[in-house]
Order: sequence, then structure tokens, then C-alpha cells
Amino acid sequence: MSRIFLLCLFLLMLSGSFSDAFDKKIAVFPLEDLSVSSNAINLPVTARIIDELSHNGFEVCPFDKIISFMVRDKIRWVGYLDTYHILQAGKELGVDFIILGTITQSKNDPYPSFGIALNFIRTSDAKNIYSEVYSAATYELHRVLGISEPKSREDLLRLIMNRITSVCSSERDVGKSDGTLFELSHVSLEPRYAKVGEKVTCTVRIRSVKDEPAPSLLLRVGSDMVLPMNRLKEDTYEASWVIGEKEGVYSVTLVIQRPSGEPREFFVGSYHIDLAAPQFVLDINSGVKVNDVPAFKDEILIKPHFIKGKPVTRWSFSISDESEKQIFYEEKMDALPSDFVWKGVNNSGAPVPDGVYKVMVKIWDKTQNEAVARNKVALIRTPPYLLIDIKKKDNGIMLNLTKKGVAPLAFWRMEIRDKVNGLIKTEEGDELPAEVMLSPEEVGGFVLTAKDVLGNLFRQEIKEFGPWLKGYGKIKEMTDNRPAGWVEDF
Amino acid sequence: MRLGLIVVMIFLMSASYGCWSERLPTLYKLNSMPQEGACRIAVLPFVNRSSYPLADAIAYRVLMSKLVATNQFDVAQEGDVREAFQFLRIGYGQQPDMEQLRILGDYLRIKLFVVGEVLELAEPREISAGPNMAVLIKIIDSRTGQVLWSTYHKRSGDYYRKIMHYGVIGTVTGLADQIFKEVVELWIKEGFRGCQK
Repeated sequence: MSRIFLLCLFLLMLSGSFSDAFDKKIAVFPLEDLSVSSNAINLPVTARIIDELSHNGFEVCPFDKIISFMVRDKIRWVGYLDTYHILQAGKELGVDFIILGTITQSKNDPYPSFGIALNFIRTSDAKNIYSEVYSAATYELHRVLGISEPKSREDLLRLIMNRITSVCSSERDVGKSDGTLFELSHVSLEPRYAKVGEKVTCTVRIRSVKDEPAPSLLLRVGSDMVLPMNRLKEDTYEASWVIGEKEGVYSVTLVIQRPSGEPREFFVGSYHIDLAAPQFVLDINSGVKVNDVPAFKDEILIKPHFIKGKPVTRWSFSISDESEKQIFYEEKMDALPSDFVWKGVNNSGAPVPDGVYKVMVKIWDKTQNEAVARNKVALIRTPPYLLIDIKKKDNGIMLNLTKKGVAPLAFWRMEIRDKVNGLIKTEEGDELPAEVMLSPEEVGGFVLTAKDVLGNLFRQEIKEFGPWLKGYGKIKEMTDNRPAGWVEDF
Repeated sequence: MRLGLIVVMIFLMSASYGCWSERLPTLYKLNSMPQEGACRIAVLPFVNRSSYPLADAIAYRVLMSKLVATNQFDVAQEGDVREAFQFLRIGYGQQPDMEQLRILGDYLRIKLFVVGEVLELAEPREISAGPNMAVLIKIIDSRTGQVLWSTYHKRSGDYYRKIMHYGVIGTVTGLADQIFKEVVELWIKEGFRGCQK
């Protein structure tokens, strides 16, 4: 198995950029094993490849040196490397090629299967020279009479190595990479949304593997401003500037001028100068208005509606009573929700008394421009109250019904029953005052119900009409004959 | 006479099946490719929409391998892509916005990105079936953020069966390898030009 693998590698190296194979030094980095988890290491397969190569005459970098390199350069991942670390590997380990690999699968169920992706990289310019995926499963490889049939993952691995031979024999002519050696390792541009007078700061960190003097760095801001970047540390540069007064989006481009070579340009981001605050109103469509104020009983939906919309980063929602005392407050660093629902409770969740309340929603855009919208809502939970005034008329009694309560009535109904609780008649309507004529000889009792448009319900049941009428007459008499200056609350 | 008719019908049916099955991979050319092609490209981290663990990582490595294997593209190192994602604070598996694409493009010296989603990846439910995979891969212009080409491909390991069990692809790695090979071959056939030789 190993010979075939080595033959493959040998053929690969003979062709194209791998010429003079035995003069070249190879480093096999630990293989990533995705069949276990992300960033899991498979040392047995890695060690096997290293052993096979070294036993067959290739100059292979010792594995402990690779691990030392990874520790020294704080490489905490396997399966891939960045250009900087590939170039560093070439320099520090003295290798010409590195092999990075990933075991993509290694299973026994429902049948043994194995898969691996290998990537051969040239360290002089961090260029991928060759890459291939190998996989096999025992199910694919059933043979006639089962002769030499692979039965385990070990058998499959052996076969995979065999397959490499046929793939690797092709000629490969890979060009040189342009090998730009300066690289950015960090870029920050803050803030991305700014107000007039604010300062924007751009910080970059660059890396170099060549022993060259430090490059000069410039920033091009918008179309007409060029700023030199100050070197803070060996590899960190910074530039700050106070933004102009013209609204718009300004792109920032970094220019790295190396002592040797053409300048390199990097777009590092853009910032927005934003002067105008968003504009919005609060729509409240409760369907019922009392004294021109939207009213509710259980909950009310408050919908912010943008007149001039912008992305919102933070909002607050508050409710205060008529004396400006805040009873509910909520705040979040998030986009503005499409609606707010208030259930007539304070921050502790306790119901608040009926009354008119002020709703205020405050928003902040990305530049921290602030906008406020206000509205009023009326909370009415008290049911309507019906007053009954009695007058004698002809041979009967006239009940005069009037309403107390602010919300309009949806309906009222009076069911009049005889002395054995049989229904004599029903009087109903949706407006008060109203008059109902009764005959005291026939009437045994009545049920009076009324509901306001918010759903608050009033109900009064008189089971014995005669005694109720007498009691009412006495109260009426006392009320009518009270002396002047009589104080009701006394 | 009747036998001849049956033979003709079988031939037509198999031909029509062949046409139908050849529809995949499906390539949508939404915008034109740069005339000069794109020698250097980068594969951005895949999004895994399947329930298969680490399908995104598997797909990434396999597609990258297929692009390198064509010997027509200079593919950016995965480590560089990840580092740029880190300093731009783009979560792994999250798609960069237009501005971030532009920064990535300049940083990696890349005009075109390949981004992809694994829509479906599943091990065989029964031994003889083979795994299933569906992917959506897009080629994106780093300057404008425009999707130039979008390719959808879906196959099961069983699709490649020739006779009995012969030809069936029994591994998810093998299936991903085959699917991406077909996609990359189609791109090259349709005019995705790499490094000029």
C-alpha cells in the first residue's frame, strides 16, 4: 500500500512543479477528522503517511517539529492554513511542500466507508499544487465470489492509496502565484454611521514575511481626501479624521506602498454621514374613540408608521398617566417591532385604573439620531351603569332608562317576566335614554342588561317587582322631600 | 412488425429518460461572466441546510479540491478566507453583505467568489440505495455582489448504477466528489474561464 502511495507522490513530484522530488522536503500536517467533529485530529492516519514517506527515502519534516511550529504560531486548527502560516511553515520548517488533509468520513454503518481530501501546497508562494478526493465503501466493491473483497476500513484505506497512483500520473503545469507578501491581518473602521463633528478611526494590522523595511500606508477617503496612516506598533497603523458636513456614504481605501513593487489597494469599508432623524407616527386603530381618544378594555395595538424610514438600532416604549407619572417602560437594542400591545398593566403586571394614558415610542437610528412619536389611549374597564326613573302614567308605570359611563352603548335589553317567570316582552335598543311602559299587576320581575362598545357588561335582575317598586317609592319620596342644603354625601 | 414497434418504443423511452436525467446540473446564467475570466477565485464557507453534521465543511473541501484539480484556477487558501471572515466579524455559515464581499475581494485579490449551500445530504437509508445530495452553488462578483451564475444539482448514489451494484456511489464523500465534478465541468464547458495558459 505504502509503495503505491509513494509511487503516486513520486509521479506527482516528477511532473510539473514537483520535479526533483527527492530534493524537496515535505511536511504532513495533522489531518482533520470530520467523521469525529469539526477540528478533530486524526493522528494515526497522519503518522502513517509520515512513516511511509520517510521509510521510502523522502525527506519528511518530523511530526514533533510540525507540532512545535503549530504551538509557536498559535495554530489551533487543522485541515487548512492561511497564506501567512504556509509561508512561515516554509521558512521555519524548511519545507518545500506541505500536505493538508481532511478525513471526510470514516464509518462502519450501514457498511464500512472511508473518504479523504488531500491538498498539496507549495510553500514558496502558498499555491495549491494538487488536490484530490478519495473515497470508497465496501458496498461499492463487492467482487465476483468475494475474492479479495475489502471488508474493513483498513482494506478501504489500502484501496484508496492504490487509486491515487492512477490519478497522480498526469502532467501538471501550475504557474507561480504573484506571492504578495504583505497581508492585512486586521481591519477596523469605526463608527460606520457618524454624525457631524464625530471622529472616524481606521486601524489596520499588516504582516510581512520578507525582511523588508516597513511600507508606507495611506488612506483614501471618499473621492478627495488622502490621509497618511500613523504606525502605532510594529505592525499596527491608525488614522483618525473628523467627518465633513455633507450627508452620504464615504468609501475608505487603504493603499500599501511597499519599498519594492507596485502599491496595493484594499477597500476597507465605508461610513455613512447621516444628519436626518427618522420620522414616524403611532397609529392606533382601536375602532372606538371616546372624546376623540382611542379606547380599549383588554389590550390595544399601537403601530409605528414611518414617514421617513431608516434602520433602527434601539427603541423604547413607555406609558404614562395624565400627571406624567411613568407606569410602564420597555427598551431594547433591536429593530423596531411592527407593533406594540399594551394590556393596561404597569411594569409589575398589575392592572392600572381607568383613565387616559400617554403612549410614547422613542427610536434611535444607526447614527443615534433620535425620533419620538406620541399618542393617547383611554382605558375603560368599568361597565356602563343604567339609571331607572319611575313615573306613573295612565294605569301603568313608565320606566325611564338613562346611562352613566363614557363609552357608547352597543345595546341594552330589558326582559320583562310575569309572576311565574314567563317572558311577557322584551324591550331593546342601542341608544339611551329610553322609556319602557309596564303594568304592575302583570309584572313579576325583569332583567336589564347593557353592553358598551368595548365589551363592558352591565346586568341587573329584579326578581320581585312589587317590593322593589315600594322600596324605590320610599327612596324617591325621601329624595324629593329632602330639605334645602341637604348634603348627599353626609 | 410488433416486435419492431416495441423496440422503437423502448428506445424512445430510454432516450427521453436520458434527456430528462441530463437536465441536472441546472445552470442559470443571471449575469455575464467577466470576458477575461477569473484566474484566482475563492470558495466562501458553505451553508448547511441539511441535517447531516458538518455537510458544509465536507462540501467546502470537496469543491475546493475539484477546482484545484482542474488546474485552471488559483484557489484562495481556506485559512485566508476564514481569517477575513473573522476580522470582518462574519459568522461562519453566514453570508457576507455587499460591502463585506468587496473587502473580501480586495483582501483575497479575487474577482469572483463561489458560495454554496448543501440543501440535502443523507446517508443511504438501505444498503443498496446510496446516499443523496442536493446543492446550490453560486458564482458572485466581488465588486457588485451580483450573482453571475447559479447552479443546482441533485443526485443519489444509486443514480450512477450501471448493473447490479456496479457503479453505485456508496459514500457521501464520493457523491459530493461526483456532483462537484459535474458542476465544475459544466461551468468550464459553459465558458467559465480560469487562468490563461
